[in-house]
Amino acid sequence: MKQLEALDRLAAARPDLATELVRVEDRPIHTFRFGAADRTSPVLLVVGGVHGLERIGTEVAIAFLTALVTRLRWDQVLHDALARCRVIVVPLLNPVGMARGQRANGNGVDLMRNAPAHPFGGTPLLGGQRLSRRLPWYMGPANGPMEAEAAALVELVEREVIPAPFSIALDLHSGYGFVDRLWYPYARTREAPADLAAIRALGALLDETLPNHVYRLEQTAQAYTIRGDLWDYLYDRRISTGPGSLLPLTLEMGSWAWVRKNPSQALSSLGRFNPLVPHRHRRILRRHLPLLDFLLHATVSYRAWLPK
Amino acid sequence: MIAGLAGVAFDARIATREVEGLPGRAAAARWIAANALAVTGRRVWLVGTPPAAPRVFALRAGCLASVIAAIASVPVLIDASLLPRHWRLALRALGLPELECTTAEALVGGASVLSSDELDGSSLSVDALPRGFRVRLGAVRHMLRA
Repeated sequence: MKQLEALDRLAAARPDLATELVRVEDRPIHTFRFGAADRTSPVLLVVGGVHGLERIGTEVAIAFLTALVTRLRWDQVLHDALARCRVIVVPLLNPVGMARGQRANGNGVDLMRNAPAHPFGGTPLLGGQRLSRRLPWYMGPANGPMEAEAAALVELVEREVIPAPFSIALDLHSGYGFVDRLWYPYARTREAPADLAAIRALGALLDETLPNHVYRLEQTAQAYTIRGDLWDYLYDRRISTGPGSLLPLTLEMGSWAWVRKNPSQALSSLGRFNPLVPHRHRRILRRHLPLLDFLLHATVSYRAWLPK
Repeated sequence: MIAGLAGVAFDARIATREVEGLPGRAAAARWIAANALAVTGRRVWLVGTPPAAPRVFALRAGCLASVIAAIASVPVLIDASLLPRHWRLALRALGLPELECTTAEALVGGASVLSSDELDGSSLSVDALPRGFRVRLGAVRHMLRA
C-alpha cells in the first residue's frame, strides 16, 4: 500500500518529527509534530485516513507533510510561524482499513461513529448503526470501549490539543457531494455550537483571504445527523475544560464530481471516494494546500481575528 | 428548508422510538424542537435557570414558532390539547412527543409540562427577535399575555 509505505519512509527519514501513536494489527499510526514545544501555543491538527476507502484524504495530508518537511530546510517564514504554534499531522488513522480497502477499521467499526453516543441524533443507518458490523457505519457495541485508533486520537487531542488556548483540527474525508465542504460541529444535532461566532469569523477570513476558494462552510448535521461522531465528542470535551477554543473542521471533498467526469469509476469502491484519473489526482493534491496554509496562518495569528 | 424539516421529522421518529420514560420523551422533544428551529436559521436564548425539579410552565407565545422555541429551551412535554388544531397538527408532523397522560402523572414521572393554563408559579415567555427567540423563565405574575 503506497500511502503507508510513503509514511514509513517519511517517518524513517525524519525520526525527530515522527512518533508512533499506536500500532494496530502490527501497522503503525504515525504522528508528525512540528513547531513550538510550548504546550500553551496554538495548535493545528490535521488528520486523514479515518475511513480506509478515502485514500485521497491521506494523500492530501502526506502532500502537506512533505511540503512542511521540505520547507523546513529553507523557509524562514515557516520557521517563524512554527516558533509560535504547533502543527500535528496524523495522516493515516486507519491503516488496517486502508490496507484492506474498506471504510471501517479491522474490527468492522466506523471510527467516525465510535465515540460515546449522545442519546439523540443519527439518521438511520448512515448516521450510525449497531445492527451488524458487516454493514457500513457500524458504531461498535453499545457501552463497549472505543476502538484503539479512535481512543488513540482522543488521547492525543486531550494531551496536546485541548490544553492549548486555541486550536483548529482539520479532518480530511471524501465521498459526499459535488463541491468541497468544510463542516463544523455538530454532527449529531443542527443546534449551533458554542463557537459559532468563531467559526463564522474564520469563514469570513477565508472569504477575504482566498476570495476564489472552493469551499462551502456548513454544519455537518445539515446533510444528515451522526451518532457517536468523534469530533462532536472532542469538541464537547474541549468546551467542558473551560476557556479556549477548538474548532474542529471536516474537509469533505466532493467526490461525486470525479465520478460525474469519469462515470466508470463508480463501479469500483475506491473510485467512488477517490480521483482515479492521474491529472485529476494531481489537481486534488495541490488544490487543498492553500487551505492548509491558510489554517496554519490563522492558527498562528488567532488573536487577530478571533471574536472576543 | 422544507427538506431540512423533513430530515428533522425523519430523525425525530427514531429519537422518540429509542427513548424510555417521560424525562426521555421531554428531552427528545427539546432536541427535535431545537433542530427544527436551527433548520429555519433561528436560535434560542434562554434567560433564567431551569428548575431541577419537574414543574408546569405556563406558556406565553404568539405563534407556532414561538411555541417550538419554548420547547427547544427546556425539556418539557407540551399539553397540545390546549393549542389550536393546526398548531397541534404541525407539531405532530414534526414528530414532537406530546403529553399523553395527565399533568400530575407527568410530574410524578419526572417530566415538566408546558401548558397554556396557569397551574403553577412558573412560566415561559417567548419574544421574537430578528435572528431567533428569547425565552424567559419567570413567575406567572410577571407575565403579560401575548
